[in-house]
Amino acid sequence: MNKKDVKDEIRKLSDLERKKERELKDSENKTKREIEKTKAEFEKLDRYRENVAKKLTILEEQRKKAEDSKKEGEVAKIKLEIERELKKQEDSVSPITASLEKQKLRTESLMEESKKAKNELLELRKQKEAEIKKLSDFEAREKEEIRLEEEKKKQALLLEKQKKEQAIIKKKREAEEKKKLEIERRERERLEAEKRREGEKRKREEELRKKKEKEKQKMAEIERLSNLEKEKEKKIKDLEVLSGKETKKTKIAIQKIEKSKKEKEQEIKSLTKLEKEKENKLKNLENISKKTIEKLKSKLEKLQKSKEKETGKISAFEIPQVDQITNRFLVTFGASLRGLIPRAKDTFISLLPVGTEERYTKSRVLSLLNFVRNWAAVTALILIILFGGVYFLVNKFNSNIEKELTNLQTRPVTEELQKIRDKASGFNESIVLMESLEKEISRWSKLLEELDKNQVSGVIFTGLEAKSFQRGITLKGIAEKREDILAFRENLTKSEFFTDVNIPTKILEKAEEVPFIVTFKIKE
Amino acid sequence: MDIKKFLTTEEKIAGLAISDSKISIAFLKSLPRIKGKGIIIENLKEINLPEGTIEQGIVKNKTSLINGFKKLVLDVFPSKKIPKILPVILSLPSQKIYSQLFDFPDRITYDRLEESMKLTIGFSLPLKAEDCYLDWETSSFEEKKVLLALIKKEIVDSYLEVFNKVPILPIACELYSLSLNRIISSFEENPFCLAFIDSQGVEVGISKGKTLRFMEGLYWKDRLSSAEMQKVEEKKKITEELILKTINFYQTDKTDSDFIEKIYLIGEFSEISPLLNSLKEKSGKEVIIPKVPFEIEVSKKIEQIKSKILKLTNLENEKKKELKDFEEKNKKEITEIKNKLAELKEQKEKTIKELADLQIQKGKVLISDTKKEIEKAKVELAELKKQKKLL
Repeated sequence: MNKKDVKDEIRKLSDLERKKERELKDSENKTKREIEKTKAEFEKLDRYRENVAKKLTILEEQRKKAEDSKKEGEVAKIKLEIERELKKQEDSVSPITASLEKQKLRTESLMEESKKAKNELLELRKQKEAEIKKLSDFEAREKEEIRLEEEKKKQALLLEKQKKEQAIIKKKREAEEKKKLEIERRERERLEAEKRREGEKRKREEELRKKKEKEKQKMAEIERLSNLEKEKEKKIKDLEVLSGKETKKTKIAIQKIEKSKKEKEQEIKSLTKLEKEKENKLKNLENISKKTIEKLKSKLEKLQKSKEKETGKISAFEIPQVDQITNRFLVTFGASLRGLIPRAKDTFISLLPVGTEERYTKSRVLSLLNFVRNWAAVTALILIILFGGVYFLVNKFNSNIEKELTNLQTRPVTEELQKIRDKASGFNESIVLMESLEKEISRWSKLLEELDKNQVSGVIFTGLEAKSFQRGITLKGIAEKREDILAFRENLTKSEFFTDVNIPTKILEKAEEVPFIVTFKIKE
Repeated sequence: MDIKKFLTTEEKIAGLAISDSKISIAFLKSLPRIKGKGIIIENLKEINLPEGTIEQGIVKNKTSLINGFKKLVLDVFPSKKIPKILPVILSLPSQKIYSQLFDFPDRITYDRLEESMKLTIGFSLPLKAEDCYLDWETSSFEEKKVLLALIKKEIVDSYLEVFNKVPILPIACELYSLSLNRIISSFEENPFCLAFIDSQGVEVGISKGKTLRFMEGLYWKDRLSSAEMQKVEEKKKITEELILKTINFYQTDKTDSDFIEKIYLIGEFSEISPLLNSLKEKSGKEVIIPKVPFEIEVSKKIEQIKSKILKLTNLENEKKKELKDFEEKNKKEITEIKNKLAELKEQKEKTIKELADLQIQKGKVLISDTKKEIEKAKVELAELKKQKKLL
């Protein structure tokens, strides 16, 4: 356990101590209050007892007096009073006593608790003291350690100082020795340098001599090389002349080679192309063949499977041949033979309960009814399909005709077709005109009648043009005088038969023999 | 298409034979006379029953029998829709059935025959009438002979309970001997004896004028021990005895008798073949193992499937050939292209080599001897100049 732990423990114990002290205080206060309360209760009880005793003394005196005076009735009454009083006292005192007993027990237990708390507190304090002691031990040890440490440091510093002093002395000695050696070395070097300088001087003289010789040799060599150079240059010139002659021939040869080279390259290219084509073809062929073979094989497998299936089926349907059937089956055939006899004619023995045949007849009737129902349903279905088919065909036919018509309408109009169309439209117009004329023929007679009615003397009609009553009518004529034509217009305007009567004003410039054109419409 | 059949929705009635170990079903078809074939077998199926399903004609394990019938129906209609009700004529072994031939006086008219029969059964049956299902048929109207058969209700009811759980509706139930008599009588005019032998027992019947007159039967278990049942000789002996006894009895009977000339043996060949010669010797009569008198109809469905298989086989062969041809052609084509490619590569390599040669040739032409000499001289000159400079 270290110092920190001990400190923590002390802190913890102090907290616990404080808590326990508080608890003890609370408990003591509580006990105190309880004791005071009990004391008050006892006092109250004593007072009550005193009062009762007083009362009883008075009653006793009264009883004695009554006995003395031989008033028996009164004596009995007082006795009863005494007894009542005693009982009252007992009744009042006994719960208080019981409560006091309880209180006493509570107080005792509180006191017990206080005592226990005190003990615990004491125990805690002891523990705390022990821990504090531990802490002081720790602190003492620490102080001792610090002191020892400081002493060590001091000694180390001293040692260091001594070492430094020794080092300084050593350095001084070394420096002195070094100085001596340096002086000796310099002297030696000076002597050696002198010797060297002399040797070098001799050497330089020797080298100079050699150099001069070499220079001579070099000059001779340069001369020789220059001669050689000249020779070579001459040779090159001669060779170049010769080479110029050869170049023409070479060019032709190169051209030839280049040409065949190009040809060869072209050939390689075409061969590569062909090779690639062949490879692709081979690849495609392999793929196709693989696929086709797989397809054929799967088809073959399917065929084999369906064949196996059919073979399996046949085994289910097949029955053995007659010569393979033992005559044991004659029993079955005999019974089956009876089944071929019409039921009504079957009078052979039947060892079945009565009603079996009826059951069979009933099932036959039921199946017949089912058959009729199915038959009717199928017939109805066929009829529905038939009608549906006819309806569909008619619809399709109609839509085809409509399509054809649309196609004809959208087809480009040729000159011939246009002519036919024009003719057709002219023909149609004529028909329409004829129809309208037919309708309006009665109105024409009325028009002529009305014109006649509104005609003015001096106005002659020369022409009447009208395509239909709706488009308007043009009447041409000549009037003797201007007034005549105005009168005629007046008449037409007033008439209930005509409307939109219009005469151009230009014609009125002439006074006599006035040609005119009147346009009007017929009222609906 | 048979319009009449289509309009009347005629139902086929099958024949269903039940033994202790097997159940078999057959569909016959009566062809129009113009085809001249008469009756043909349309379908025939048989399944084995697990041991203990039926013992001596009595149903012991209904669940097993129900499963057996379900399997049989599925076998009959492998790809078709199974009908809701499959009407059948049920045929049961005769051993558990009591039969008796009644001979009425000549004065009794046909109308009164029925009434007389009803009176007779009241006092001449071995079992109480209310405990049995019984029925009779007129064997011979001229001779005023009536054959009566009865079976305990519990036996038939146990079968009927099973039929309620499967789409099979029995509309009549008869004995093996009656079924056999019907079929043998279709080609045999004279009185005959028939014997049906199987692994469970033997039953013998006498037929005259195409009607059954007498029958007798027994189970091997009632006469033989388990070890003896394995021996053919024992069975053979009992069968011979029963056949001969029955023939003798009928030939000397007061009620109805006639001379029997032929014995028909029916059953598994292994069971009846040992009897053939010995019975002939012992009885002095003709012993016949009858064959199935009908032809088998080749179903249209089978025809269709067969033709489909044939087509598929042809197609398969065609495809195989196609595949083979294609592979060969393809192989050839690929080899050709590969060869061509190899040739091309070779040619290309050659051309590249030629090109390289040309390049070399060009180099050679470019660098002639004179030029070489010039170059050499120039180099030498340069060297000389260098040396000179150095100097």
